[in-house]
Amino acid sequence: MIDTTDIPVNSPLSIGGSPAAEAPAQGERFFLLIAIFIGIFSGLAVVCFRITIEFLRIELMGSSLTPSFPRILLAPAATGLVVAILVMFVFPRVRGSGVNQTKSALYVYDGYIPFRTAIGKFICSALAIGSGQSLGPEDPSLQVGASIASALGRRLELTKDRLRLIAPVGAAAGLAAAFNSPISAILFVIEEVIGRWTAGLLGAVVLSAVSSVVVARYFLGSEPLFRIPAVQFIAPSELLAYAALGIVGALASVVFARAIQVLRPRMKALPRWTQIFQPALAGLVIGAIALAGRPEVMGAGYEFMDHAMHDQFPWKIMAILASLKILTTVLSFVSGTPGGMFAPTLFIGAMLGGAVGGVERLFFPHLTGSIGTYALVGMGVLFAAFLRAPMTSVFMVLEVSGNYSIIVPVILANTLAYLISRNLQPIPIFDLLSQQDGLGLPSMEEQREERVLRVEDAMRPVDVPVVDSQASAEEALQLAKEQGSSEILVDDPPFGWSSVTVQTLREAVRQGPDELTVASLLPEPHMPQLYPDHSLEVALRHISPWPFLPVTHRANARKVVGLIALNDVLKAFIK
Amino acid sequence: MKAPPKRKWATRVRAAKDRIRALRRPIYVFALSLFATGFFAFTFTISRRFEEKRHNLSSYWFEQGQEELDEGKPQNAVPDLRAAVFYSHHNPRYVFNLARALAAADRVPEARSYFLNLLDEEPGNGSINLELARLAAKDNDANQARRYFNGAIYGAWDSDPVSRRQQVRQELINFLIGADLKTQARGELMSYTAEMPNTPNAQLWVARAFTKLGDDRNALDFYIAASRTNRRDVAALLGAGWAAFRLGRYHEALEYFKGASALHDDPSTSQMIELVTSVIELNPFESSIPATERRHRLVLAMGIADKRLRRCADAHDVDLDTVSGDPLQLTHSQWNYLNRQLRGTYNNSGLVQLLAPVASLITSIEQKSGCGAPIPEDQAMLRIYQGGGELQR
Repeated sequence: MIDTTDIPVNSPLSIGGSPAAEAPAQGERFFLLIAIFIGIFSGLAVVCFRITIEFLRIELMGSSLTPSFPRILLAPAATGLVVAILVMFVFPRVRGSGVNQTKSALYVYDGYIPFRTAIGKFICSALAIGSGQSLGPEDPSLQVGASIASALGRRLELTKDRLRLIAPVGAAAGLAAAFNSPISAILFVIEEVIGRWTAGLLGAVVLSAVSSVVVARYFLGSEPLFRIPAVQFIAPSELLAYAALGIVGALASVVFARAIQVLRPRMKALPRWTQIFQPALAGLVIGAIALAGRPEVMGAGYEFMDHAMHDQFPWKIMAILASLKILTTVLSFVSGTPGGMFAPTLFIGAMLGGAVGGVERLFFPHLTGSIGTYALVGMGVLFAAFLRAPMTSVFMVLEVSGNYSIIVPVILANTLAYLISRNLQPIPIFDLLSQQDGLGLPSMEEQREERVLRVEDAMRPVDVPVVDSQASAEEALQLAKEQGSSEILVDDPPFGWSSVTVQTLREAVRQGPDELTVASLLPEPHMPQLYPDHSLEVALRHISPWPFLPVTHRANARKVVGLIALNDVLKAFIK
Repeated sequence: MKAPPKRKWATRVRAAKDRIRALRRPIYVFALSLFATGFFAFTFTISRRFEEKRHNLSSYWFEQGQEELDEGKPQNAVPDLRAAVFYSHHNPRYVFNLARALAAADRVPEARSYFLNLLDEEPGNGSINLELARLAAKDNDANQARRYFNGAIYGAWDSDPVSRRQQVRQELINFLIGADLKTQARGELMSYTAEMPNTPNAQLWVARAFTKLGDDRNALDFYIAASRTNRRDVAALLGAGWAAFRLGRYHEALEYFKGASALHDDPSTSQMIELVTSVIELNPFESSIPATERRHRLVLAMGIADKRLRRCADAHDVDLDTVSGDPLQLTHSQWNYLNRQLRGTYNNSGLVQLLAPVASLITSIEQKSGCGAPIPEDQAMLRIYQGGGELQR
């Protein structure tokens, strides 16, 4: 992980203003320009994707929102068969959600995602979601965006480093267009895919996300995916209900994740010929559930999240829908049908939130705000607990609702859900999937919580003589002899710190004039300075060729609080 | 010294390569712009075509839903209208009708949520405010209902806003009367009278509303106004008759009832004429009558009350001529006492002093229950003597 803490004034990294800086700056600008194009292309692709899903839904299920008996049962099953054949024989890389594939492009394949994957993902996901499989369009959009970015990067012959980073830029664009919420998309990609913040990358991600959202809104309108109800937070005591929602959401997410964890490898381990029928079977079960009276579980289900947020279901129905959606999404996902888990996660969250709100209203009617508020918070809860993106979950709710008055319940419920889910299900779902696929992708959650070793953990007290640069060479030599040191640390204001060896001083005293100062013996450039809170990685990068580096106080650059040498760094790492 | 030709070519090639390298990025940007334009045009085309398809589907489902709604089948209309809204989110007409269907199908929370969303976009829309007011009225939420009714009254209407606002105010008044908020209802009714059209229907409506509020004086004025605007309006004449009767203006009441009967002969109107005639003939409170007539009317009244009392005694099997502490016997002894006094009084001042105790006794006798159905004379007695104090004043 790149440490983004500031670099001291005299650092060799500070190259701003020099002619050498112009070429990288131009490259940076070009990269940002490309990010805008990626956003535009991803936005257009997502618009086409959404239209295709909708078109297929109408063709396969009929234009009525209550499909007829044969369609409801046969469309998901028959389309599942077609999707399975396409996945097995034409587009083998399009299984799953798409988030891990984007991560693997970043960490394993140097940013390479075949364009064919984008086409396959587009077709197969559209068929699956359009036919009523319980999956969403966001993760495939993310992968389509990443694939477009990767193809563009290769075509433009970007450097390997930039090529590696361009896939997440496209991913943010795809997700932003699918979600119609750029902030959540940016945060998700940074929190879950890249795991780090750098100014250049953030700029590219933001530009691509914003441009894709602008394009998507031009075609699809600027309304959120669901109508946002009047958000209410009645009293602080209502927080207890939100805490309960956090707990319920965490438990549901654990059930959801465990079911995938257990069933996915088992389904994959079945003979290859069975895999052709797995999506069809999942589709048949989903169709049967729909036929039994709960067609809400089909597809992404945004219109029913809308109903939940507007108090249009009784709490018992919402609880049933949450359970059924877990079942149907698990079936769709473990059967290898391409499609995303974002929308189902939000669906389950909305229904659970609505159910918890409904139960609370039953027992404490004077304490309950609108059911819509609970449904909205529930979405964030599942997002935090199941997808393990706590920051994104909070901002998503705020961005979608456009109301900051519910920030306290959102943070409380999401944090509780996140912590409980982490305890009960230590491996996040995306890491779990990559492990099952045999990919050693870095865990963003682990990275976030990894202890960073800092300079203060390795530095030692100042054990060499410190002299002013205006001191004479003879005086400095005398001081070194007295302390038995072979090196002297020299304070050379205003240029910083440097060092000189006893041998250099000795030769200077022997050959030079009597008034020779230490300043005239100092090598160029001066030493890079470190601060106690710098990571050891930064120290390691700058320590050579110096025998040691001074660690100075942040408020007073002339005050040395310690020294650090290569050996000290290594010792700290070994410890 | 001149450079050899080979070296010259190499320099030129290098320079050309440098120029191409320098142009590489602008060329990329140009090519990307071209491609973006093409992709945009493609997306635009399919998006428009799909939009057209959605539009057709939404129109189709809207028509289906509207038909169901018009046939009084809101439950069936809901899924169709929902499909119409699904394919055309932006059409407020579709959303409005879906919400109306939901309200008609008793799915009030859903309907309210749709109306509220519409109101967010158009806070001054009269129709939406009216629908929300109706939903609030359904929930007996008087505060919200008044808020939305007022929003509808002062809101914007597509056509004939004056008449629509008047209709809404009428609906608000009806709601307030139904919710027993008479003070607020009276205020709204007064506001309505200031802006109401000068038509018999409106006057009749106002008169009836005043009647419901128990304000017979204002009701009579509007019934009279309505009957003057339309002289053949039986309802207005009957209303005026009843209001005048309740106000004790029996001669006026008789005129209105006779007028109504002349236009439309009805047994109930004839009964009222009979009753009012009896009241007029038996009323001892009239100031203009001589003492002999007043005494005659009081004696008649005492006779009718005695008959009623005896019917009561028969029904309850009580002997009025003995004294055993029965309330009927007690009343009978009061009757005897007042009757004796009446028989011995001939001057007007003495008779006027007897009016109050006679009124009280007759009212108590006529109000006794379990004495069989009251005959028209009893009704007249009750009418005259129950409000006797007021009439005397």
